[in-house]
Amino acid sequence: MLADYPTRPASCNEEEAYMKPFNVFTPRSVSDASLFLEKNQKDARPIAGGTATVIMMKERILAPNYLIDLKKLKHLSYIKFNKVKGLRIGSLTTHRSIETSRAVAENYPALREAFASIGNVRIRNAGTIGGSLAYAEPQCNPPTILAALGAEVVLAGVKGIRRVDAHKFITGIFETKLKPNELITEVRIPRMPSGSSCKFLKFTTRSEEDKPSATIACYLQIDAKHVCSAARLVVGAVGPRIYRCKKSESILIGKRLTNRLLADASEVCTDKIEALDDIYGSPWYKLEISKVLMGRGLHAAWNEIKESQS
Amino acid sequence: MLPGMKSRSHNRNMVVQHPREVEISLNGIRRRVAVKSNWTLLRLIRNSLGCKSVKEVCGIGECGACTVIKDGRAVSSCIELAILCQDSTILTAEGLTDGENLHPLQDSFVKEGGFQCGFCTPGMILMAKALLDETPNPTLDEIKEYMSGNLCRCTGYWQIIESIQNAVHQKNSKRIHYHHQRNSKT
Repeated sequence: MLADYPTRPASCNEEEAYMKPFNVFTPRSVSDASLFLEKNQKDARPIAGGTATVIMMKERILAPNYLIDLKKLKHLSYIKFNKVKGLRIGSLTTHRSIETSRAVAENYPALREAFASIGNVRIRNAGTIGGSLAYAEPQCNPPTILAALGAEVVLAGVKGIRRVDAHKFITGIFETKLKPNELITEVRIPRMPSGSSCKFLKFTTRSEEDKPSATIACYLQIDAKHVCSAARLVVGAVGPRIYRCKKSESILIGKRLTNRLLADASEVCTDKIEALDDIYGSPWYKLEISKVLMGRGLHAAWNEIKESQS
Repeated sequence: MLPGMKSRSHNRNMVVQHPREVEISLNGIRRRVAVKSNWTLLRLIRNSLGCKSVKEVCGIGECGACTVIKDGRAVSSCIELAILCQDSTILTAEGLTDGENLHPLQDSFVKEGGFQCGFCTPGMILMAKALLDETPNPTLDEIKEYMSGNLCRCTGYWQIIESIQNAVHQKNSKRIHYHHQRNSKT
């Protein structure tokens, strides 16, 4: 897929080898930005942290006439935690502030872990949660973990606000449910009830910071009678989008968990996933890795719940 | 002004045509410079403002040779757009010293041999400064994790880690020494 794109010019210091010149629009509010997007649908591109957008502009995958500088909307950068409502993260919150947030570390350790393993510190200082979701690359960590946590993405457009489930938000490589005039304003994560646990695991083949061959996130909830009452299993990075493993979930929900059951669930977790063949691994390899990771993640989550309940 | 745009909310010159000027504070000096919209912050600092310690290598924010400290946080200047850096405060390796005395981290890198060819060193030192600003006494794992985004092909990294540890040690021992002196006087 990526091989079809034009390659980066050899020298970026030469004027003509640089990105195409553009104009900058600085909105004062989200509605300002979406109005502008509505008017210049094909020409305008919102930019937040720029970690993905600038690279794509340098490679001339993107050549917008207008950039909408969202970073000036400072009120969209916040992390609010409420014990009943859960966590609300503004779309312009950087990965680094999520990683270093105490509310996140105490209540959603898997979320912290997923954000702490994005790129490097400089990327995390610049990149934002909303930008990462809108970029919709399946290898990014945030979509996978947010889908497992049952998050909702809040979108604001010209016609108003709507909410989309995180696991349905990404529809394909670089494709989302965002309409041309919409912007992501908030991510809402429900609270983690007692007897629940979430785990995030990723596997990279070349170096720790490389794009992963597979990422998994799994959420388990076990009630007082030791019966699994909820499960959300998500596989990312393998295919063109993230996948909810409904078949594995149906194996687990409503049953008392055993080692055998977890093994069965992880064995079928790659059902219906179309794995992509790229430098990070062959389809067979990626699917096998996901099964192993899912098994480990489920065991870790189950053990954590057992410890908390005993 | 854009053609065909008559909306009230957009009639306030909010669309900026390129090229234009930005005002940044580079190494403590406020500067007003003309930029083109398609310049990266790296292009502005290195080619227009002459801070040659900032280098472009990978161009995608992975190697750390272009690290600058922008508004107190380390960022990759190769993927920051210069035109969006209005009013930001930028520190490069040139701004660490007054021209006479080395910054404690620079001193420590020299003493511990934290570099060989020196190409990655400005980025390494700025990244280490950002680390020590956030975590004054980092553990070995914290140093490794924080510095993992900066690549060096010469040292094998241990000398760099030791340089940072040494700088922390120096700073702490000075402080202890200072307290000791003060206590001994009273």
